Amino acid sequence: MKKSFPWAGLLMALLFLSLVINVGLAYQYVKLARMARQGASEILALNERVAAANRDRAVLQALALESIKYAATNREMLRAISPFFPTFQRLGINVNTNPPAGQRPNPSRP
Amino acid sequence: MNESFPPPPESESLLRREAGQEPAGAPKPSSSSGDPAFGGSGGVSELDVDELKTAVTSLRQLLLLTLAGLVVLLFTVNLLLFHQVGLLRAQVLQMSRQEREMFSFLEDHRTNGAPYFVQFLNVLDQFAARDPHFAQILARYPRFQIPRPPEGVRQPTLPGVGTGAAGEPSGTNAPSPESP
Repeated sequence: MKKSFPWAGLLMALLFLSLVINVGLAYQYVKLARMARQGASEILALNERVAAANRDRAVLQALALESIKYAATNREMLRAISPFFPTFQRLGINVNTNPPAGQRPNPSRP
Repeated sequence: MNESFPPPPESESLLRREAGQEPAGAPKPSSSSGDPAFGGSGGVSELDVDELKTAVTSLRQLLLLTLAGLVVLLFTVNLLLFHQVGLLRAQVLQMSRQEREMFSFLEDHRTNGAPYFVQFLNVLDQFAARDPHFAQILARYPRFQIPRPPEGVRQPTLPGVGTGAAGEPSGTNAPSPESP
């Protein structure tokens, strides 16, 4: 009797292999989805802190500009804030202390 | 000259039964030696065997088709899952990169930026104490302290993101402006 090709066995083997791959992929998917969910919540919390830090930097920039503008007419202020010039430059603040054209430091002020 | 062949055993029992010599429930000889022309007095006839063979063949075909369909279905599902896993992995990597950048920015702000801010504000406060005009300018701006990590914040769980960087800031160890 002529033996036919064992199609059923081959298909069963393919089915089992597909099942194993499917289980592995499903496990990976669930693990990555959990990591993505946790990462999203952490980034949300970090966003608030980054926004607060950016607000602080904005306040510092504004204060630095005010103090530099005040230092143009007050040498004592210039002496007080000059050590912070490297920090200002790191923050991108122009620390050019020369007064604008048409304005001179007030000699009567200390 | 006519040759007469002896009748086969099944036909003999059939003839005897018809002649009333053998009861109906008498054991029949095996079908292997039976005459198919007489309907197989031994059991399943050739027709029944053919029907059974046809049924088994069709069942086998049905099973193979079902298995093939299941294999195709699982292959498709695996393809979809593989694609989704790839997308999700890229998303997680991008999120971990973003989280790492945010952590490094916050740590830089906490260690290198905020102490200078507080020191700068202290200097301005001292100056404002002597200069009321500047005190009015300074009063328009809010105060802040060196940021501390909020309580209960755990280390990030994404791989490769800031480990061991969170620590209690020490206000007394704020670096001097001359030494950045």
